[in-house]
Amino acid sequence: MKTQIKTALFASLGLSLLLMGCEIDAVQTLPERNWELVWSDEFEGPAGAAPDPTNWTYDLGGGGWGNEEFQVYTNNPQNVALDGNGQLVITAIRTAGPNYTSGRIKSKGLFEQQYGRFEARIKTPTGPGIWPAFWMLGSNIDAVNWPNCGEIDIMEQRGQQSAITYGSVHGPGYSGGNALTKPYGLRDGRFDTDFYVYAVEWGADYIDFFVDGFLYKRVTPEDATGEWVFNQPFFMLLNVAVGGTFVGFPTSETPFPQSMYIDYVRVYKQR
Amino acid sequence: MPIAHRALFAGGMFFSRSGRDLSGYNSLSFYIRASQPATIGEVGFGVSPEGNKFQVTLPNLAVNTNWQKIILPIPDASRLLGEKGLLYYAAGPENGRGFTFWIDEVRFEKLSELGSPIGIIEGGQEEEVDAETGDRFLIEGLQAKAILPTGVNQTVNITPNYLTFSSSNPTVAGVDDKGEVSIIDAGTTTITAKLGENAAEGSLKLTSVGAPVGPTEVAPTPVLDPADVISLFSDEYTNVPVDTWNARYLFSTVDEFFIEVEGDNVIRYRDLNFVGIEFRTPTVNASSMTTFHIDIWTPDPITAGTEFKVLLTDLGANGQFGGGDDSQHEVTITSANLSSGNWVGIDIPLSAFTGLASRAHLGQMVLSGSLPNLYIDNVYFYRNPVTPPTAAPVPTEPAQDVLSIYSDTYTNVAGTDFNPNWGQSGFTTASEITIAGNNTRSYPNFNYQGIQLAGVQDVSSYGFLHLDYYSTNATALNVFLISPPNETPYALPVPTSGWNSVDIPLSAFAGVNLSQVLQFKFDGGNGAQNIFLDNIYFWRSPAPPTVPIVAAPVPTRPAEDVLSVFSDSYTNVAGTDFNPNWGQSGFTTAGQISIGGNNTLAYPNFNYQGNQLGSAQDVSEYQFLHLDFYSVDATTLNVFLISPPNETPFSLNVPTAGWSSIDIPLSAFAGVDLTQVLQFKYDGGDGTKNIYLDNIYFFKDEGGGGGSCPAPPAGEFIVDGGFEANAGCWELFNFQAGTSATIVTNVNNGGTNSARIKTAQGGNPGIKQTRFGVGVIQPNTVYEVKFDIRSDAADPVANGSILNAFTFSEAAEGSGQGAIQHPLVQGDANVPSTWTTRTYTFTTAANVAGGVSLLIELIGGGPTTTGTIFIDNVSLRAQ
Repeated sequence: MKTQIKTALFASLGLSLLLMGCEIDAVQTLPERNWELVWSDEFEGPAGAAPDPTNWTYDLGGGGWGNEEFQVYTNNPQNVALDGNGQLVITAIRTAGPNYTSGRIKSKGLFEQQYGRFEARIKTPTGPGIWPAFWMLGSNIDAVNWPNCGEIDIMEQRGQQSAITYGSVHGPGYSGGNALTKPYGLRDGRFDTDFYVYAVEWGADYIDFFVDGFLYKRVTPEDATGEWVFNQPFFMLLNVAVGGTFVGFPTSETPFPQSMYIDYVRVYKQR
Repeated sequence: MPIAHRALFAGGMFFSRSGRDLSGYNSLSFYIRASQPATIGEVGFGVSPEGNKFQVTLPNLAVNTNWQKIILPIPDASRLLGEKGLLYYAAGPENGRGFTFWIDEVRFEKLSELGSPIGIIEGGQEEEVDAETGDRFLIEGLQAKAILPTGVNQTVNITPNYLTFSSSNPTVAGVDDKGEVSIIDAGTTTITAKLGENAAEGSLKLTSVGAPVGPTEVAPTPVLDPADVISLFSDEYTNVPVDTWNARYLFSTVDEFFIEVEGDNVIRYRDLNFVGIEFRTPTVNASSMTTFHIDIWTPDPITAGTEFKVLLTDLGANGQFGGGDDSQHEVTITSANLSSGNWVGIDIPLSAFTGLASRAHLGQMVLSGSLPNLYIDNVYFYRNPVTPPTAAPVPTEPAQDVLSIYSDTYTNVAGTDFNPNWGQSGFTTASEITIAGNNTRSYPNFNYQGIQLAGVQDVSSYGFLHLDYYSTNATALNVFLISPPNETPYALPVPTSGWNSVDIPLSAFAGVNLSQVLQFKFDGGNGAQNIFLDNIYFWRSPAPPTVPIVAAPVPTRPAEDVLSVFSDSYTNVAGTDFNPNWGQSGFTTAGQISIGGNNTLAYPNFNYQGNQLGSAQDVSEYQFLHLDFYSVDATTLNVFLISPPNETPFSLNVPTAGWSSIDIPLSAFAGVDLTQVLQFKYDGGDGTKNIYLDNIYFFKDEGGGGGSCPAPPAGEFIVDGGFEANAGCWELFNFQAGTSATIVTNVNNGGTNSARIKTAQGGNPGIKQTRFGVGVIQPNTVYEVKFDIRSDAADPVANGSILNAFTFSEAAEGSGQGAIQHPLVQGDANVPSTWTTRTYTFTTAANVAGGVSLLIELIGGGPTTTGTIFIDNVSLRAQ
């Protein structure tokens, strides 16, 4: 199996941008787009059930996933399961050792789309070394490898800074620490205490990043320092990593277990 | 804000004179550093001179020489509308040395990145506790935690005032706003809490058994004189100081409750594995006491193995634990002396605590055992009172069999001097006292004491000297019977715990001339003892009645095995003369009497007596002569069986204490022609004796055992297939020398017995059951035979021995037709030495009118033949 990579952000971006939210208090004027729901998973089902296998498959195993992550992904209900209340729960668990298990699911081969609005309502986990993410990879990854396939990170967070979420795109020549990235900080609150809707709206020449409908970043081909590879279908991923180059080590004080609650994932296309 | 910290505990609170509204904030934050790495015991807020209702504490804060920012989440700021306690700390020295720490930038602030506080009770655990009505529990482990901006939890200790407690089942237990739970009924409830609107982590699940089961009645009220008691716990006495009734030793699980039962104080122990009780200040000197008493009550079931243990410790001369002079001993009360649901009074002689080197400094008691629920009352040491609290028991011997020296019950021999001056130390203090109206001899200051009769008494016709004596402080006591100059002592057990009654066989006073008894003597004291005497008399057993007042036992032999001469239970041979005139002294008085409707031969004035049968009887097929006889005055009695002119006597044991029954083997009557028995004769009397006879019959006992053969199991035909009945259900035959067929008890394959068949040259020993299943076993039908077999390893089936087993279809008995043989196994020389089950089938012949027979035999062949087999669990049933 080929390594699928979520690449570390540029670490120095952290604190200096923490107060971004303070600057954007005014009402936004958003582009008018007319979205039509084409795919969704509302995660309805009995507690303990696996997510719909027609929508999602698992990435299983350990090995760091290219980022020196600690966790081993499983398909155990303790790690990935519906909670019976319309939510998918992905839980990172500390076991003896310490070792860590968690979950990572993807829509690869089951649902892939080029352009549109991809959104998920998520309550994220917290704690040092906890790295939740809602993201996408180009469907041609097996053919062209990463980063040539492209990566759109709709949400990723560092658990030791649960008031900040990051949106990023990676492509050839602008991946890893050189990715096109932007943090968004909450002015009053934390992403782990409530659900937020994380979304991108993606067209031929733009990718817009939203939190609760607030546009905080637009990436265009002009921003890319390499080839713009976002004119092909992408699939979605949801996971909670533990440790790794982006987030750092979990500590003895990291509260475990840590769960990411996903109320829904919805995908629209423009009429 | 530097806080210098010397080598002493330091603490401080910073408070506002007017209350501050902190509801708009979610944290207290400050920076802190110290002159060295150290731990600050407590830092928090909510403490002011007015109290600490909303105290929040961060315990054991590790600090070092770098400034670090500390954030204490406010658990529920909405409650802090007028808080005066804004900061407090408490710290001690580090390794015994002082240090300095600085706090700066102390502020209550609204940190947007601080997570919502989450309450915690019971340390976040889901605790479970067993409880009962009336119990109270305080919810503990009250905390709040919140995720800091760094993603880690900050946990602080909080007061219950931040939390809202609730009980899932208020009919079982309620919980107040301080977190105190009160159990009010049986059932299960879970105590949870909320911090603000959010559920706190942790819970306390209570399983209540309801009201405890305890005694409803008061323990028996002690009646001992307080002078004879050292009481640890009793409403009846003044108790000595007891340090604790539950010393809570390590690993002790017990709780103690001081309760009242019907107004009487009782100690209840719950979850008792062991409880330490200490009475060390001062220790208890129980040297003069003799017995430990405790009343216990338990609802716990008493089963075999249930125990209650009492351990006593003497702390030695130093009166302290340790010092090398402590000694202790534990006494175990076993289930036989325990009872559930009742007060049980336990009295343990202190002498039973053999490991106690002394009881002058008792300081500790440990109760233990297998009674987790225990109520105790009336715990005391006591001695039996010096003076009897009650009168001696009233004698019951008939007056005509008594020669009384001293008793209110009888007429005493006259003129006895109960205090002759023999120089005894108690001469002046001896007296007669009255106890509950009963005259009693009191001998205080006892060293020895005499009793002088007015004249010699002949007591030779009496069997016993009876004596009631009481002495709780004697260490030795002998009673002497004296026919001057002969005297013989008899030791009486002392001390007594009450009146002791002894009946001393006069034979114990060897050397004393029982026809010349003049004096008694008691000795064994040293002038300090007290003895009390009553009911001094000689007595003899009442003479049994000359004429029996109960009938002889009813015979149980089956009539077909009996040839009866005289019995109401059988048809007797006809024509017997039970009083032929052979010149006996009792001829005119002999006859029959009816005892309870049972005819009995009566021969008063007996010297000898004959019975003349109506005709000569052939009793050769019988094995025994049965006879019931009764004579309280005969000294010799023989029974003769007579086939004229031959007669042979058999001696009977007389006198009898009642009816005697005997089965005399007919072989005892050697010389008698058992085919021609005509007469019985009885002799041994002198014309003054009285003999009574009943149930004179001959019988045969073919079973060879005392039992009876059981019915075969349902569906089976073999009787006693396991050889357990000991009733001759099997024919065991061994016709040849060296062979045997016996039922043995030391080998079996279940049960106790098996059949053992030992063969020898030319032998065919075996076991057989004959003609069973008549009318039930069907012709031309398959039946199954099963038995367990093994050989004797010490005598294997070898050298020509072989096993045969056959069944036979029997024609009707007496029909003259032979049986049809069905070989099951024939010529088997390989019988294993371990138990093996053999199963065979056979088909009955057309004629089974006489039932079926089964034979198992071990045939011996050549001259060196050996072999022994065991057979067990034989069955025959339809297949």
